[in-house]
Amino acid sequence: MSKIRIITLIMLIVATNTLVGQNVTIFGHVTDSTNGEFLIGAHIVCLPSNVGIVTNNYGNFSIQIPSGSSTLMVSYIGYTTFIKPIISDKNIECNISLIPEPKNIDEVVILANNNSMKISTPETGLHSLKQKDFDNIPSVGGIPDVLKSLQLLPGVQTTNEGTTGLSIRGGALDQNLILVDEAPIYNPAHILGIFSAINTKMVKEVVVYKGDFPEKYGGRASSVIDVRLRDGNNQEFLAEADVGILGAGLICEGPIVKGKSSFIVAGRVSYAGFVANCAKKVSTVIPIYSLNDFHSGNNVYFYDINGKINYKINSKNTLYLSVYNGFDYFYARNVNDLSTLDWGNTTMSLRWNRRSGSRIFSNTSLIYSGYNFNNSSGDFTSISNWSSTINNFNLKYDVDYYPNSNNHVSLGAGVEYMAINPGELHWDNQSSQEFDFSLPIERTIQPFVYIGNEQKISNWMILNYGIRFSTFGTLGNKYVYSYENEVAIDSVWLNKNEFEKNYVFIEPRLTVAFNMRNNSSIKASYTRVNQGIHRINNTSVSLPTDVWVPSGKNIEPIVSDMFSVGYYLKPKNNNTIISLELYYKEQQNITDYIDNADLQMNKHIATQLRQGNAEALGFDIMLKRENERLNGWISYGYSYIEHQINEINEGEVFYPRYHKPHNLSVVINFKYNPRVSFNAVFKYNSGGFITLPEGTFFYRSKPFSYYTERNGYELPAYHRLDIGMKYISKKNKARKWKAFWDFGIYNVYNRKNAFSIYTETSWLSLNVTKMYIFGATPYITYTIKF
Amino acid sequence: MKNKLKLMISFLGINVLMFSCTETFELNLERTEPKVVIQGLVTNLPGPYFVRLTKTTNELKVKYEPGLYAEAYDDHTEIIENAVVIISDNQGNSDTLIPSPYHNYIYYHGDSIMGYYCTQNLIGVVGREYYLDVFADGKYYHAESIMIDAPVIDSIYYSYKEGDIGKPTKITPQIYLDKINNNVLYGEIFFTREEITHYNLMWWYSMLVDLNDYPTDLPIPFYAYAENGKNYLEPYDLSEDFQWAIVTMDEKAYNFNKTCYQQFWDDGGAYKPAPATPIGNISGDAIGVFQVSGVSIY
Repeated sequence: MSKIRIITLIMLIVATNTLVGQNVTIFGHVTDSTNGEFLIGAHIVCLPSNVGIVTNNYGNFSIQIPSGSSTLMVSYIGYTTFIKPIISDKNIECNISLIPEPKNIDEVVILANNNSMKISTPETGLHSLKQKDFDNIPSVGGIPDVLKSLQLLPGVQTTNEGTTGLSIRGGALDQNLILVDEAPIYNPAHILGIFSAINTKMVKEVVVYKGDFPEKYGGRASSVIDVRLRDGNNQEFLAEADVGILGAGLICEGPIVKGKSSFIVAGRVSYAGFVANCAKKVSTVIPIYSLNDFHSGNNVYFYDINGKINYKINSKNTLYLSVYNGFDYFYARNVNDLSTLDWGNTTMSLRWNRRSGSRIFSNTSLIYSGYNFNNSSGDFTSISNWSSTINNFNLKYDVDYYPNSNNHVSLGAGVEYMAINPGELHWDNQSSQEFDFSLPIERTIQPFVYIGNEQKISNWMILNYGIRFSTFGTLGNKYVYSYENEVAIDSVWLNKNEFEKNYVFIEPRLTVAFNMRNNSSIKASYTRVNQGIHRINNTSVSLPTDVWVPSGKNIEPIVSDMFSVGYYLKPKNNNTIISLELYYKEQQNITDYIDNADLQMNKHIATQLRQGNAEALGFDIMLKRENERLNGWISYGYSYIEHQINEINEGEVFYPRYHKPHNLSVVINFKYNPRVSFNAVFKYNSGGFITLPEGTFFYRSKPFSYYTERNGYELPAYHRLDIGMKYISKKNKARKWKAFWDFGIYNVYNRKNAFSIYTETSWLSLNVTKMYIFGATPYITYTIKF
Repeated sequence: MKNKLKLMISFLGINVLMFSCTETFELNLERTEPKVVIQGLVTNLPGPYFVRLTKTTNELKVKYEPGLYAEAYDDHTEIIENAVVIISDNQGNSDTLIPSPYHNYIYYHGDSIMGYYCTQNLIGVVGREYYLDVFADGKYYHAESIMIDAPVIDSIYYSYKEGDIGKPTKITPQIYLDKINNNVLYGEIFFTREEITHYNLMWWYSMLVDLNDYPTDLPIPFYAYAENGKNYLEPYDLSEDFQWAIVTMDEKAYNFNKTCYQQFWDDGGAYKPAPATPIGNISGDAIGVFQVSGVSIY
């Protein structure tokens, strides 16, 4: 505790010792003039003092400048720069509405301010994508996808094509904190990972932290994916509907009280199963070879709905309520006509955003996130229902404090409570051989407090330092076992409020940026983060039936130390930014599974897990161009990941399945004229590693396989090219609506990339089979806006 | 066990995505040194007992021709001849096995030895510990296991369920056991219309059971079969003239057999756990298991 006190004291001294008596404070918020949405990350500069700052997550800012005459400049990508002379000797509230720039493609839009901020702010491994970035990337079925778009960023991998699981800078799939309006999402996938659960129509911004976390984030060992949703248009009513091959969507937004309160509602529904059934029927009539692999009799669909309202109580207080519900249903008749699987997420965020004075902005959040699945299966005698739930409640208080123009203090506290029901099994038509069975509910409590400061030391150096202090306690109302050689040798009953284990996490964060004269910068960062919960899964693709278990007496939390250093360059008079980042990640207590682990409904799950160390080393290179007519990026990432866990792979080092050293992405968006634009994606990465047979042996006169070392076989490389075109219908003055078309082909040259390679062992034969999901897949989407 | 079995079955549904396509994958296996495969079984039923010695192969194609029933039992795998195989017990009895065609598949293959070695005078007795020593190709392999008494089947009741249209009536046995010896954790159920002997304890008619989870009653036996390259489970179409046996085994033998079973379902696909080599109880980097079992017959 003494360390924390000292650090806090230093921060406060540093934050206050530069207060200057003759300064005045300009504060307020920045919004879009057409819809009233707050703009996150807008750049504010006062001249001639050249003091700069960016708006926070609620569009607020506070900047101290010398009293007297100044010029305030506010800029944001895609908006006309706002310039206002200010003469003042006292604090001023200045709420700014930026006007979107006219869509003139011949104009070379200079986005220098935003790029400058990118290279000068003290963050490494950070990417920010807006809704239009996702819309401009060709996608399966024409459904823009947040998580699959992120796979085009350097340092972001996935295990299997077309799935939403992410390995970021060598981290495991369960080490990403995915937040939607601050609510964590436990399974961000629809249709077994084919689509992500985040509706891009609702997205205002997605910020990806690949390793350098601000202090306010914690709980996951590798990355944060912070999805911030739109607030809704508070100026006019708008609606948009789209229909595509695999799904349809509708979004409505408008003012409740004009300029003061607004709502936004968006829903999507997918009829993928229906489409697959139709494709099968078509294949029986028309001999199209590629349709022969479709199966009929499926019932696979999903829906999700987002709703959000905000109410501006007065100039200081605003309330936000954000709700999400998603549901999936999966039934594949051709395999098991008695088996169904459904799952879904529900989240709710209630936030009170408050400005206190001219320098303090606070946010109080009450957050709920829930997840559940139900797997019903049976045979000729009875039906079993296997279900699991997660309920997470989070109450937190975050403060942004701007004591002066050289310091931005972030501090906050909160508590998170989680209840996980790992599994219940109920039987219909129960017989004497079948009995209901449930695992004890796991409950955890995680209080936390953090403080950090972004301090401008000089014009060429910015320091960001902070610390997050938290505890992770697992509560009782269950038996806790002791094990020896995988056998329970003792058990102790813990009452409801007794701790099975209470871990203490102290997580320092440090980043430094040196701004060079040639419009470039060098940054370095160190982040420590701990993860107390683990997703139980020994497949390469996340499943809806994956269960989370908390650390406790027998399972330790993951400890992750992340280092990175980067060089960033923005050539003058150019809309391009070039970045090179090197990183090293070291993790302790990562979990993996013994061979042939028994993970389902196992109350002694700890006996099936082993913990060890992971190392990831690599670099990310990115060249990004931001221009109205031609934009996109080229990125290359190299990574080397190793795991070492006693009792797995005989204790030898092995690669995880997401070890894919080379990762190249090219994303291009070209606006041919105001109504037609083209986009393309090329993706190449190493194939990854899996466990495959090394040979065959016969036992009881049947063939069986013996295998390579864990993940000892490297798959062929993965690559594909996607192309798309957007077309805006000619404006008809007699109509009140406007139509848009999206056409494209995913995987143009029909590369049969391996989704999975597996061995089929039957009583009489043994075959190795490659499964691929997406060959050349065309899509078309029709959208109307009114 | 049945609970978990059903869960396992349900996951088959996830293996086949609606949109997926498949094709045969040419896997270029590294040429590695073949390993010795040892399959041994000693029971308290009358002997002789046998041990089979073969070698692994770097090929994934099965040599026998599907469709020829008898051929299915002749795997054409490389056998180990001229090995020294000794089974002994903790009472000082020792038996050096001799190559012999007297094994499970004698019915199909007559006097073909197929890598089998048989005991000459050893008698399996419950409660004794048995040791296997093999000297083959200049290497030494060793295994040991205790023969655990098998619980006695108290009674079996058959319940009948009318089949769906076009499908036969299903007969479901419920097997009740006498109180189980605390040492018994794992076993296998065998069932056949023929008289159960040491020689027809064959895989077709068996089911692994975790007796620790089911102290009094046992699950319905299923049988697995392959059709069009896929595996299926079906409940056995039983009748009341079946003979039943409970066969015990130690944990290592159980895990070896279970892992082999799992290979039928855990194919290593994206939605399945990473597969692994079955690990038995034989030292010296050999694959296989030396199973010592008590057997009770009903």
